[in-house]
Amino acid sequence: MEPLSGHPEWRSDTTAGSTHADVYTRARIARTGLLALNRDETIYYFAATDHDGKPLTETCTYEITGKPLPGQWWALTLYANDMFLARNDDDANNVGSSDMVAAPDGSWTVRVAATREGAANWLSTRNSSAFLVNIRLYQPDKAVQEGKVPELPVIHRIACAAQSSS
Amino acid sequence: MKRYLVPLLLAIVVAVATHAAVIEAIPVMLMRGAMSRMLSHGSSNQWLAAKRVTAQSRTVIRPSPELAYSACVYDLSQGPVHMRVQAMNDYWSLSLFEANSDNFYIADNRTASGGVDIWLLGDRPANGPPPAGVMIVRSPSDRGIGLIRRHATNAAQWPQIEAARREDRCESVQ
Repeated sequence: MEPLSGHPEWRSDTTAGSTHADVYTRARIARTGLLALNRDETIYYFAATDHDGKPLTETCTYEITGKPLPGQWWALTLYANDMFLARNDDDANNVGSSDMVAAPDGSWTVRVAATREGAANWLSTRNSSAFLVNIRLYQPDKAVQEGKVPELPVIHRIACAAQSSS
Repeated sequence: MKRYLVPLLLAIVVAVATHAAVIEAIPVMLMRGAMSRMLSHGSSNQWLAAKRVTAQSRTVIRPSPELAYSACVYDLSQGPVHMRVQAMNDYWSLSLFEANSDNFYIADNRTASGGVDIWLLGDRPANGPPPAGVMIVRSPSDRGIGLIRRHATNAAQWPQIEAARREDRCESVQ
């Protein structure tokens, strides 16, 4: 999958769940998102890199900034490199339209790091290794169903832990 | 040189055919694996209600912590299966996936605000018509997965989810 135009960190497979998907797409979706819904119902966006193209990693701290997405509801979920939720007890693997703390204009910021540090919105990276952020946009607006790419959030790398030398 | 041409072409044809067969088989194999994992928690033609998704959940990749999932591995080899899904005020959907992972049917809170009541049919015909108000849906394969997703953002919503689940049906039509 190619990065989306204007959103270098995000990729999306609009044929997910579609009966029109070719055999390669069907094989890839089955491997990475079995039982995915089709684009009329849900659109999935994935980021494995930050806005500058660097891989997302537990050793760094990030901020995701964005605005409400055009659909009935949406959520950002962080997955570890095995495609499951990271094995930690932080209860901070998901934040979305129902619980996001946003500014009066609707904009929001999510801290993506191993510790919360008082952030209003937080996704924990603890035990996630090289992680993935997934946006689910449920019942997207008609224009998005028909192929328009909405204004997606931006993933900024803030800092990384110093590499230990051996 | 000529004597190598036929074996070479044959090898290329076999390689291409094998590659195509493997690619085609991947979704089928993964669906089979998913059905097998689900059936380790119950039997076919019944809803299997998943617990709330946590960091320990490992049944299906990339689970959503905001959704309550119920799955039914349907088997139409003995006849139709009756599926009923209780509506809720918040988001819910029923999606049906055939054996090759294609999502061939979906209903949700927008398209079926009163819930879903269907007979799912495969190759084997039903003995009679469904009761009034029950719609017929044809599955391209005899086996597949029905999946209910219900929006549940926190533990306080789970009693409502459990109440709705008690009204759901996935059962062979006798």
